[in-house]
Amino acid sequence: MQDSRGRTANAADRRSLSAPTLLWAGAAGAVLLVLPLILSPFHLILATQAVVFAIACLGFNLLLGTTGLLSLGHAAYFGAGAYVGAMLVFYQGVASFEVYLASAVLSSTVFAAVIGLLCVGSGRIRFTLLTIVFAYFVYLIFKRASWLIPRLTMLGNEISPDALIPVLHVVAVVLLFVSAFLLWRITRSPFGRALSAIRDNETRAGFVGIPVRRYRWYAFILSGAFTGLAGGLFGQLNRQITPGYLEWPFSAEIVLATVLGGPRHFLGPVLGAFAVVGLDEAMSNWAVGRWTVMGLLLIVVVFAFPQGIAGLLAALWARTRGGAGDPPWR
Amino acid sequence: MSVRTALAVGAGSAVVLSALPLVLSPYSLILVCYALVLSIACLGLNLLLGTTGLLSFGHAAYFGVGAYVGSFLYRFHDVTSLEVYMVTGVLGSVALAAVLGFLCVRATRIHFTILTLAFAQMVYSLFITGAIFRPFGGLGWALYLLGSGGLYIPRLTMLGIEIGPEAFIPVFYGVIAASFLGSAFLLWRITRSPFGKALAAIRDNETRADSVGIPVRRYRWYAFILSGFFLGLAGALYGQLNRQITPEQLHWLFSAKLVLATVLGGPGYFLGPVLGAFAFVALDELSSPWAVGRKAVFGLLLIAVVFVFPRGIAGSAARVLEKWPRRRGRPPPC
Repeated sequence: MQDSRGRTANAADRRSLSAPTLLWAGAAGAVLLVLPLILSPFHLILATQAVVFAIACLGFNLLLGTTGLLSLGHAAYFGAGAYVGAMLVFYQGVASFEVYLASAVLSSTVFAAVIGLLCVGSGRIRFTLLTIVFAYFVYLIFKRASWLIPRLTMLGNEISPDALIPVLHVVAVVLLFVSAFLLWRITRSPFGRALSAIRDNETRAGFVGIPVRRYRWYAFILSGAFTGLAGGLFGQLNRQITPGYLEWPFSAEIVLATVLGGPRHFLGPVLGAFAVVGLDEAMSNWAVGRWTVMGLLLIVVVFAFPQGIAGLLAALWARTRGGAGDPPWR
Repeated sequence: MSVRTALAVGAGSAVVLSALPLVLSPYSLILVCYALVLSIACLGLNLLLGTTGLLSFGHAAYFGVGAYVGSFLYRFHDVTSLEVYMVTGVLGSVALAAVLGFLCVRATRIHFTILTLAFAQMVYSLFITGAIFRPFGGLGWALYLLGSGGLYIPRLTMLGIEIGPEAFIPVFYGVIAASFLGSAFLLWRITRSPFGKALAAIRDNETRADSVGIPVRRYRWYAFILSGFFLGLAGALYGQLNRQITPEQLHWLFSAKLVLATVLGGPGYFLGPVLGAFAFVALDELSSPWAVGRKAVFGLLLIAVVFVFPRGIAGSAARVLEKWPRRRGRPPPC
């Protein structure tokens, strides 16, 4: 595909949403939105968890896939958001879901801004180490507390116990689409291009005038905000928040899901999140540790299709189209 | 570092290390033992990190296995010789590193890091769930339930001689110091050999290294195995020094500690990991008076050091030495 000036355009360069992409997105949205009508309550909870987890992984991937920074401490922003929201509910008597969620996003953003500022100045290895150490601090802050989160009111309406999960599911799906749209625009903006340039060659990016450190910081903050949004949603879905969601295994799980899905594809993290939640459920009856299965799966992914599930699907799509063209979800 | 300076540094540290038992209190001597063991581990890890440019978050596995193999032998086959304990531990680590490394080096960068982490967690889960104790029947399972996966290691006999409680630490300190000097010497030779230069070439530019004929993947694998060897040695020494081994030493947070100590010292310098390991033990000791917030204090100290020495302790030391009037213009000695 070439435009009038003869530049080759590929899917990754598209700035506006094309018709097929909108069609696919609409279809996916429709499927997700009718889930409350078909699934059993238990499976609906799983689906909502996957949607929430997908938001976290999408946000995380702004750092990993787009900026090329491996954070092993993203559980901190996931959990801190829910914790601060829960503290508002517990100590201030906040009953509104909107306030709870906004405070969760805001507090995660603040945490990410402070920690990010200290981390982004370092090289890749030190960056990863610092994210671990700081996430551990956040864990130490909250580790003695775990709170129950009551059913909050949405837009002033009390939600009955039966309606909570379906309503929350719809809210989560809408927020997933909003987040995906925002992140899609961010990665395609000049700022997103600059982040990719930093990922591909830091020295060169600095040389052409990109403020490497500042842009990394911005990416870190944005990433923390989306992860915090997911954390807030998760707190209400789970109805409680425990230190387990601040701890490293959860950070590793976010990384795992993203890598499994394919960090270089925009929707890879979403696919990875659904795959991990689905696998977790499928494995729940097995005696062997989940890490053993996840590890084996990771080996298969890294060796058989290093671009993740999204990469595999893209290859299949290209094959059906005669070997050329990017899939609409790229 | 020229050969003469290296010899001088080596001889100097040998003299200092052999004088330490005469000067230090028993408690401080034990701390030095821990620092030396951690130094061996970090030096081994740095063959991957600093020399080859691969970040592993799974080296706790080789460290822990180095102690576990020998302690299984003691538990289930009544082997009480330190030599057998050490040799089997190191062999176990090397074998594990050869198998897992073979798979890991097929990936690069972030994929490599995540694979090492996943494999190490698999090893950890074998121990923490007790799966590895099951083949040893009722006794194995009882030991697992008793120690949550941890195993006690008695004072083993050296060259067939039983050593009393009083004399044990000074004698074992000798073993540790000798292992440390031997490991440092070997690794120094390795990094200066054509093989080591090839590893550095891979680190600096993989594509270029490949096109000049260096078998990149194979050399990375060799580096991984060698690194596993030193981690196994350190782990075996640690098990005997600590007198027990627990799954905590297999956990990836322990891997992160090893990486942290190495980065603290400066992975770009040969002696950086040693400085980092000593600093790590010293910081841990400094934070020990705080009973409640010890971990938080330790973390704060750690972060302070990381920010005070942006290029590692060795990097800052090298800069100071460069400014030394008599040495101006000469390369730093480490």
